[in-house]
Amino acid sequence: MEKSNYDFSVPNRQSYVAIIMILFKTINVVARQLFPVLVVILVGGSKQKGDYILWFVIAVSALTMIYSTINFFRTYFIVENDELILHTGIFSQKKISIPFSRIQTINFEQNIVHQFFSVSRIKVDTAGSEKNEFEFHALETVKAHALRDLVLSVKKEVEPSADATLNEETIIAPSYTKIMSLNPSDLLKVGLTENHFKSGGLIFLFFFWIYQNLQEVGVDVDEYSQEVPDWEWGIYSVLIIISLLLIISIVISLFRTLIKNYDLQFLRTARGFKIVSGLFTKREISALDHKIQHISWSDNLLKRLIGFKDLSLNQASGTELNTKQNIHIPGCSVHHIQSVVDTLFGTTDFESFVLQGIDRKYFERFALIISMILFIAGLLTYFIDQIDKMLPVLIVGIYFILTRYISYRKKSFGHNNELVFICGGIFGEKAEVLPMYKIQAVEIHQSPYQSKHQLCSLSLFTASGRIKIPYIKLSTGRTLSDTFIYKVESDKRMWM
Amino acid sequence: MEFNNNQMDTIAFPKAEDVVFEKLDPAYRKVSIYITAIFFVTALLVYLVIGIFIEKLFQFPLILIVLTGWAIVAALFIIVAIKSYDFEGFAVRDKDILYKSGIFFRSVLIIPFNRVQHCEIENGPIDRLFGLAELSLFTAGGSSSDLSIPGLTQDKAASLKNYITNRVAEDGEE
Repeated sequence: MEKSNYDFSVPNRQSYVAIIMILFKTINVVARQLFPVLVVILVGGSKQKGDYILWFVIAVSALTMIYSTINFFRTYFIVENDELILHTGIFSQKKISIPFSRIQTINFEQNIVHQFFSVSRIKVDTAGSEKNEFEFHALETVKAHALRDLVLSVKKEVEPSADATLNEETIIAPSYTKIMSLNPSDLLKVGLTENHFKSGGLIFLFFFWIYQNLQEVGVDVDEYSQEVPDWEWGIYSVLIIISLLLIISIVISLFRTLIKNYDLQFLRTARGFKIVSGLFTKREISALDHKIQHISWSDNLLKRLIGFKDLSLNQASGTELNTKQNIHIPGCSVHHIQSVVDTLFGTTDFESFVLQGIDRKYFERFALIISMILFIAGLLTYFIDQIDKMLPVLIVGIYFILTRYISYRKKSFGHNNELVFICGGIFGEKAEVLPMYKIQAVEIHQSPYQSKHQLCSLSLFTASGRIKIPYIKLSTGRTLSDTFIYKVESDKRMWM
Repeated sequence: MEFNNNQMDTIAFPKAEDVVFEKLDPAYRKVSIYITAIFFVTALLVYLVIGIFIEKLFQFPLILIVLTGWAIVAALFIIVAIKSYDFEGFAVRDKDILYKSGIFFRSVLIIPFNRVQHCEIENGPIDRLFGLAELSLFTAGGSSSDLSIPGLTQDKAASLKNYITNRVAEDGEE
């Protein structure tokens, strides 16, 4: 087996390609931070001042690069007694040791440069409060995979023999079975059914960003825009602009999907899942079964037509809640999701859940408040003779009330011996599945209004975030809370 | 695995008589009043200091409005600080800890000991003056589910921490 060719018990350094990566990263960061300054220098302004700034930037970048390069030669790792030990630092040597059992996932990433040199960026994630995470800019891909297999295979054994040298017998190479993959036509469908409003918003943000940056460097955009001859705002031009925006949004959605999800493969490993995808930058993310806290899936109106759902596997996050720990797999069918649920939580029949809805006051209260705001706004605008300006506000208000009603109708929850199942959504369907024993804390909260009506909202805290069940009867909330807490306290399984 | 639902009903919960919430130390009421007062006095001082440089701030109608507003808001916050003491409390059960709080927006948070990652005792300068401490429990993941019990006497905080640490360790061994 090729894997055992690598000896990790001696110090291993990153591939030399890492130096290129580090230099590239430095330039990238500097360029991004100083973009407005550089524009000022290039566009003009005080020549001498610009020179000073330029030299300063170059000096800082050069120093950073030299530092990083020296650091590269001082950084190496060893595998010893089922621990990954990393040595780093120039002036003060730092030694970070991570027991294999603490390692949450090892993820890989390959951009074009990486692919050219057949190296991978490797990132080791640990769960927990300590900042024990580290990443190598470049490690030979084969070596990186060998390291990952080593870490995972040792974890497989209940009592790892510390002194036995790891050879072929003890390394159980992970075998993969494919759950699903996206072929080009699926990819196209995923792209077409994305939320185009989001892409539209991105365009808007992009132009806003450019506008802001231009303002910062002293270009007065408003002045230019006045030079544009007055435009006749006929119904046709509005339609053209809207359809143009729509087309651009769809194109952007397609591109985003293509770049992110090209050649997506969703694989089942011995004890977890693996997702490989990406056009320019190839990402490989693994998630171990017991690290996955809860899973959810959702669709929208378009996706429902072709039966696609976005599945997301939510893992325990470190000190901060960052979305990076959530793995999204678009274009899953109901069967894929069912098979993921069955492998993770055992055979589950979602029809058998007794689901109950939330209290009607969830909608009524909201509708009342919004109507009151609309009423007051209406009165105010009436008195200042601007009542015609109320129409858009009214439309937005009615939209909010309607969506709240739909979400009230769709929200439902239930549980069996093992799982909590929460449904919801507005235009699409959204579902969350959480094993009870993964809950870390339960909170019942009541607003004054809820107290008056013997209602409450229930929050379930997990290592991967909070799940809320709003507006249920206080007695129901208490029973649920007691049930969940009982389940957590009587369950001895490892939850993280 | 038969799921025993009967047992749930016997497990006590806020309104149920089984869990009696322990009050925080009476001195904590004073501490929260002082902290609120210090905050508002500092805010006023900052305003006055800035006023030395920007004379506008001392002009007649503005200073009056600011002072009245300050007095009302400060009074409200101090009333909340006094009152909220009555609504705060904690209860330690065999396997978990409960903490309730909130005058208007009430909440009860329960954290099972077998989900606690670590716990910490903190005491600020005002806390120390009254011999008080704050006990914080941390769970994995985000900080949103962390629980802090303020207004414990230092002995109590220490013994509580000791108890919880033991329980957490017991759970790990099982």
